[in-house]
Amino acid sequence: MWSALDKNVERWALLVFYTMLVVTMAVEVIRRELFAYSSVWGEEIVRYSFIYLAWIGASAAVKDRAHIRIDVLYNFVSPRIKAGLYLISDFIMLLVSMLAFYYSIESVWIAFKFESVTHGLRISLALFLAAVPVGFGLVCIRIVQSMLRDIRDIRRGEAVYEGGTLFESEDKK
Amino acid sequence: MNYLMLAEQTVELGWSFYLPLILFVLFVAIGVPVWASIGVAAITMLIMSGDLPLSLVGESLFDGIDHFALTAVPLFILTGDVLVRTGLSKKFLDVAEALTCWTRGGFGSATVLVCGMFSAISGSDAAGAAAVGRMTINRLVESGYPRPYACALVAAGACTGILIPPSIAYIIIGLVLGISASTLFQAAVIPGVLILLSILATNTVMNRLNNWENSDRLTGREWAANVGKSIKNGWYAFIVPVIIFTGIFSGSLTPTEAGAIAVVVTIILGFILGTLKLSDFPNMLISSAKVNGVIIPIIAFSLPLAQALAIMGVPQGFVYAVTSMTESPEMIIFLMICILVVAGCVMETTPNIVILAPLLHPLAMEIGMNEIQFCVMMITTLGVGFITPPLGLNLFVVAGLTGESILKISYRAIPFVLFMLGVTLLIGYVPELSTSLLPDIYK
Repeated sequence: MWSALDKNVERWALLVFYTMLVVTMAVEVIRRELFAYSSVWGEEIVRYSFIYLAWIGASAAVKDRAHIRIDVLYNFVSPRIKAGLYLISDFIMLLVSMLAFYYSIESVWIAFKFESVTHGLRISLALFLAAVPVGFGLVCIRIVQSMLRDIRDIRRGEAVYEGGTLFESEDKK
Repeated sequence: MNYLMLAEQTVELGWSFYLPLILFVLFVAIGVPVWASIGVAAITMLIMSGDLPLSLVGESLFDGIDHFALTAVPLFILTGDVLVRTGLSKKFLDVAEALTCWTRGGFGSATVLVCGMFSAISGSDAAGAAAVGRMTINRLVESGYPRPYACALVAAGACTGILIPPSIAYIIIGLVLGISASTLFQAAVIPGVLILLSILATNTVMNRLNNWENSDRLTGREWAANVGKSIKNGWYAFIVPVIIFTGIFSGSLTPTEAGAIAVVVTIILGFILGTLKLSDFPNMLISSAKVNGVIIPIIAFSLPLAQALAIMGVPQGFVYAVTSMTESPEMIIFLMICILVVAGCVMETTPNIVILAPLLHPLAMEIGMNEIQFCVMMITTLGVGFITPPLGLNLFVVAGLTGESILKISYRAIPFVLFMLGVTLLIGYVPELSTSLLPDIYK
């Protein structure tokens, strides 16, 4: 159960939000072009799925070490130093993510306390603001996992995980 | 003009500017992901300047990206992905090959054309580089091109991904400067095609000089027959760009809507052709979502940084510093292009747009440059940065595909960079290139 969740949590969430975004947008366009009618909430669904998609996608990218970085330096240093650099950069990423988590939780809490609602759907804004802390919570977990994995690899004297490229899944095909 | 007034003041930049800058450069250099480096810079700048609360970072992670226009980004990324999986990109290659096979550098030119066609559907760069590279690099080598050159050719051609609309880069600069993305898309058509032509020309010249590829000559009739056949077999692949362009140009679709229609139509085509299966969807959506998850955090963290810079008066100070050096618009345009080229070499396009657009925009206004033309010039120049080391995303992608070294590919990319920079200068000095397709109010 835990290992399935660990492997797939981003996948499932991303599938749901991506499908929601594309389908809602397509339905909205067709409805507007053919029936000259558009809803107030369609755009809201699209925007909020997009934000969930963005931050959970960021977490998926952390898991695969796919975030854009300048790794020219990594070609010239020994594997040990390289592993160290990965650890340092993960740690800095963790600090930023924890701050982002803290401050985004704050705005969710404020929205929750004052019962803010969205313009179109009139449902709690906190539900949507939660996209950021949810995303960064996952990002933090993934960074800690990645740091633990790197430390284990260094101890065993193995090469650290270099990450998949962004287009890996296409290559496998 | 307000800027004239503001330009009177010099801005003293203290440690609250330099320390974040130093941290940023240091972290980027040791390989901290770009979004986190920008995040560190934004956070330290907010703490040290003390003018804005730190909660601004937390807010901009939501509010900063809560824009309807930005939702076009995942849509156009996905279209590119679907396009590859449905095999429609192969149809493009067939048509392009049939069109160019009468020239000596036939397959090289076809490669560039495919990049252009791909760009007219997909909004990003790297997906095009990966897709076209996978189809063409081996065949380019068979045709006689050296492998690093073939890689450079694909990388350069794929630069048109963000230069020919639809384009994620234009959506982002529109968001930052408050200009409609549709207008920018319309303005970008001629400059984008010019860049494509310049890459074609570079390839032709390089091929003539080195005699790599020498295709058989065809008679006019054979050529026409070939073209006719390839279009007959693959005409439906062109439905998608036609929908996007008529939708955006007639004004009946916003870029986001055009993106949604493009995704749906490509998926339907895939099902009709039988090349797309339901089981393909998870992997396709996930890999697109990851690309999206790489781009959006960079925007979200760049926004508070740009705000912090604005509060510290950096843009005004910059305008003052430049205009006190030289008053001539020609010199200033040249200077802006130089800044953008250097920025394009060392940084990724997205943060460059979010951070430099508010900085250079007042300067462009100060010298009376057309706003739209400024955007086109900026994106085109930054687009060249995709094939310049150390941070050239397209170079990374083709190097990853083929295992060639980045340095070798970059060396072969030099002629492309030079030709493209020529076009950039042209765009900077000839406003008509960017504005002639636009309604009169933008001229």
